[in-house]
Amino acid sequence: MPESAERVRREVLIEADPETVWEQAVRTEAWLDEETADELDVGEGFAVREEGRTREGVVEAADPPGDGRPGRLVWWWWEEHGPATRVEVLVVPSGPATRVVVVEDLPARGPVMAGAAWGPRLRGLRTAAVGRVVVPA
Amino acid sequence: MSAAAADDPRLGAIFAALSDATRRTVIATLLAEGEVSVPMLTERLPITRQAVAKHLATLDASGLVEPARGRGREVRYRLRPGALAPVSAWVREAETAWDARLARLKGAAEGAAG
Repeated sequence: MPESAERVRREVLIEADPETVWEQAVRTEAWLDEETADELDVGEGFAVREEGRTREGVVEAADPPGDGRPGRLVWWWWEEHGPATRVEVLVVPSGPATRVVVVEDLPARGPVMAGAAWGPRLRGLRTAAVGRVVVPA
Repeated sequence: MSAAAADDPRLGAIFAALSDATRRTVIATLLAEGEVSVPMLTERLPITRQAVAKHLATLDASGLVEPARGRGREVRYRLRPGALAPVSAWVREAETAWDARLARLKGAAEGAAG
């Protein structure tokens, strides 16, 4: 099996600066829920609805772009009976434009279990992350 | 609730089984060679016979592989037909969803910037 069999990678070039793309991604587009987007705390739990389906999730990392640095947003999400997957979004300056790269996959290492067991596990992770809060600049 | 690929009850067990690098190697070997056995994998992998057997048991429990009687008493394993279909379905669904999300993001960000 290829290494990437259960990995999805998508990217798009957007004619806008990274800060604008980041704002649109985390707020207007509401990939996370509104409350989460306001704070973007590492370990923050959230729930999003999309096309009638609800996903719960938790933020693993949130570093907004700035001064030529790429932005990086990582979260885990899962549906009630589904497996948890990890989403990593990179917002990379590319001349006057911005490249957005998304990778969604299951973790390459570490304990992975069926979705039902993930909720409590990730809520524990949230508790453990207190004190490492990242606030958007 | 839609009949989405992510709701497939088999997907969690399959993802769990595939989360391990050694088990990925076993699946890759099966795709290349059709069948594997404990002695064959023990020879190739830097792990013990017991560890190989345990990984195969995990893959069997996930539904990805099934035992097939080999020569003599040796048990060989093969990929269960259609076993990877839930993974392919999940990948296709996730690709479609991200294409749509990124298209919306492009429209919104270029509108806001322009």
